[in-house]
Amino acid sequence: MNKKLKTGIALVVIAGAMTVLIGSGLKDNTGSYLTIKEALAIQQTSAGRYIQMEGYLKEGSTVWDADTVTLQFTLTDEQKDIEITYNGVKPDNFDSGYPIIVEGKFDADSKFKAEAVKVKCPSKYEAE
Amino acid sequence: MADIGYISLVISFILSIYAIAGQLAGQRLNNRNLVKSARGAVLGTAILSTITSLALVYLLVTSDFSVKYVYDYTSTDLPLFYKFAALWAGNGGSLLLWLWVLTVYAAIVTYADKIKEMTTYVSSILMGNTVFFLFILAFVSNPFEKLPLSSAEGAGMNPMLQNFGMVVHPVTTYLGYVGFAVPFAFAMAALIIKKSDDRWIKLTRKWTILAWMFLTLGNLYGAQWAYVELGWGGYWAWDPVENASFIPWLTGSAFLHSVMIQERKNMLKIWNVSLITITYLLTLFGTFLVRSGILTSVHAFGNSSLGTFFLVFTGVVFVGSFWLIFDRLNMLREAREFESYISKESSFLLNNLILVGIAFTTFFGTIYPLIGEAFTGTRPTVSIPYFNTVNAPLGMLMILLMGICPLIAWRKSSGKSLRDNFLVPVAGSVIFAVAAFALGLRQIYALAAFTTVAFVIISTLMEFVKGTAVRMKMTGENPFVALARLMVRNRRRYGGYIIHLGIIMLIIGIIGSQAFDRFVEKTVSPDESVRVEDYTVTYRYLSQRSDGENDVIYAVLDAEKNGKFLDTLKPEKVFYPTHPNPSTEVAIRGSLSEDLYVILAGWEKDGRATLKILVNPLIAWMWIGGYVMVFGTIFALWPGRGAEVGPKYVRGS
Repeated sequence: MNKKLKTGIALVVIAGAMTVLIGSGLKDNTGSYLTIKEALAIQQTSAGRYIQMEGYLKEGSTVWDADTVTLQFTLTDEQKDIEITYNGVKPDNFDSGYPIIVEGKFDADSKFKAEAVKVKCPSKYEAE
Repeated sequence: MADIGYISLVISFILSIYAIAGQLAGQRLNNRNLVKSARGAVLGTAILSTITSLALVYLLVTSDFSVKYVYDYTSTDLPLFYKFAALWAGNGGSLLLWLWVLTVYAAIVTYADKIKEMTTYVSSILMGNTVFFLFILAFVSNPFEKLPLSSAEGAGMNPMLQNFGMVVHPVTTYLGYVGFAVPFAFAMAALIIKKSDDRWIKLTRKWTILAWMFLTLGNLYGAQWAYVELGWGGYWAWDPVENASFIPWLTGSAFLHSVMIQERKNMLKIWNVSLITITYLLTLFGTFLVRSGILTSVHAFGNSSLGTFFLVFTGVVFVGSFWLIFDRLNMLREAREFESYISKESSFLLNNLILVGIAFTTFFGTIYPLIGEAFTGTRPTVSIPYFNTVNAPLGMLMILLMGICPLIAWRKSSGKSLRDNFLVPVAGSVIFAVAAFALGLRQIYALAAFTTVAFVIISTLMEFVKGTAVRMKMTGENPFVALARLMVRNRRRYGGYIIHLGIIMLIIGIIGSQAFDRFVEKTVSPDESVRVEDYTVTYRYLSQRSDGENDVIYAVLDAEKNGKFLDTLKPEKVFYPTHPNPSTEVAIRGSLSEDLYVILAGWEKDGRATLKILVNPLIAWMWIGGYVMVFGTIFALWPGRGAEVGPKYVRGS
């Protein structure tokens, strides 16, 4: 077997391994980036699907339970509102009016359980 | 002052165009005076960019709020230090910093005139990039834009930026990004004048390594800044913005290794030219990702039109450089082949494939939302586990290779030398694995990872031991003198090994903090305790103090480890007058084995406080590893005798 062929086989094996890695990695770890409206449309049917949404905190909607460390709030965009439950603490700047990114899933009762609540780090490189 | 800044921007824009046209025309017409005057324009651009930058610094430091940029990012009460650092707090200013570094580099390269027949092209390519940045600054994102009405007070700097990280992270990252422009320009110039030898590589080695070191530091300082400032207990989230500077670091690392093959064996020419081009393109593409706001990131960058300009420019450089590479393919083809698969050369090649592989998987994961959206209409998200599950095995393979490479010879290793060389590291790491298992390390991934790390440490240290032993035999020196001379006389090689050891420390920190981190979130009443691992944290009371203009609320906590008093910790919330919401200042009690990391998340009217407490094992080794890498880099680069490359390993030469 000449060296070119061997190298070729090695490359194919490596490329194949990478494809499998990427494929399996993507299969288990991708979700959908949805608007609140789109998320509400699949609320009943998509328990367990990983969803990311962006919106703003609806003023006065925050309910904080210190004992269970649970945060409840309403995420809103121009069109729709959605109730979010998050087992965790308020991130910095949570109620400053900055965009909020919520990641999580609808549970069996069609309630949105956030696994992460992030505030977009404000005005670092502001739009011109 | 704003006018001075803007006018010098516009003049340098014109000068930089002249610098290109003059040098190229002068070269073609063989007119030395024209070339000389055009090179003067390069220097002129550097001087004017310096003036522009100083003008903006002056406006920032004197709080001239008639300028929008000054208004947007500073306020009168901001410490001088941060007024200065505001130079790179926003779009316009940070691009100005980039421009300044680029023009200074261009002037240095032009006047050093190291490879006479190349300088015109190198200089023109760098100035081509300069023209782009000047265009953006003068016409798209002008940092000297005035407000219709001057304001008495500025909007202030985002509290998150008021951290030491703000001073070092952006500057080091930019020095890294811009630094890769120099080897890229030389590579292109070598193609233009049809030289396929390795002179451009030798000449730009220092530039490349320094750029790589700064990018390493930039990434690490970014991670550390996130760790101490953002208060979520982590340091890396595979955010698009983080990936944007990690991906060129990977391809840059690959390039550093693959050029050694070209230096020693005149091979991999096409690969090397492509790799540096890709690295440079990735720095531009990364800037596009960061500035365009096209991907969802916690770093909000707004949807500025800057992104489009960067995308177009990246496209132009991409097409131009790869057209040139394809046009010169014949010149770069090599007749030589690897002599054996079990050789240092092939381990270098494999290392390159893995580094580029990690770069690719990361790149793919980063832009997957865009690809998915293009095909399906809805935008998919890629979460952190994708990057970890895909990159962890590749990374481990990479680390393993780092240990194998020193054990095999150039050209071809005989079976006997392989057995001799592998015996100690393999035996040592097996003993380590058994001992770790016996001591209770049961996590299979962590055990495998730490065993790999042990193998690399032993194999790397063996290089020091063997070299010293040989030297002692030959010269009769005592071990310390022999070791010191061995290292000093072979700085490239041993500097490289020091960097490898630094990377291993970094990896130890990553494995430890990823595999064993623990956290608890709890609301506690005064004198109530929380247990995390070996720690007991007792909440005493909440208190308040003033820090300059800022009000600080803090919790007083007593931390015990295994029942012994350790320290009093005071996690804070800081209220800035220019900012509506408080920001978190975490309390960290660090040691070499682990960090106790406490966040004051909030408090109730009745005096209870909500705490988030994390134990992050081994994380200190990440930062130590970073400094070891910097030391190794400087050691390897130190000029003088002993800094040369080793002999060529080409059959018959």
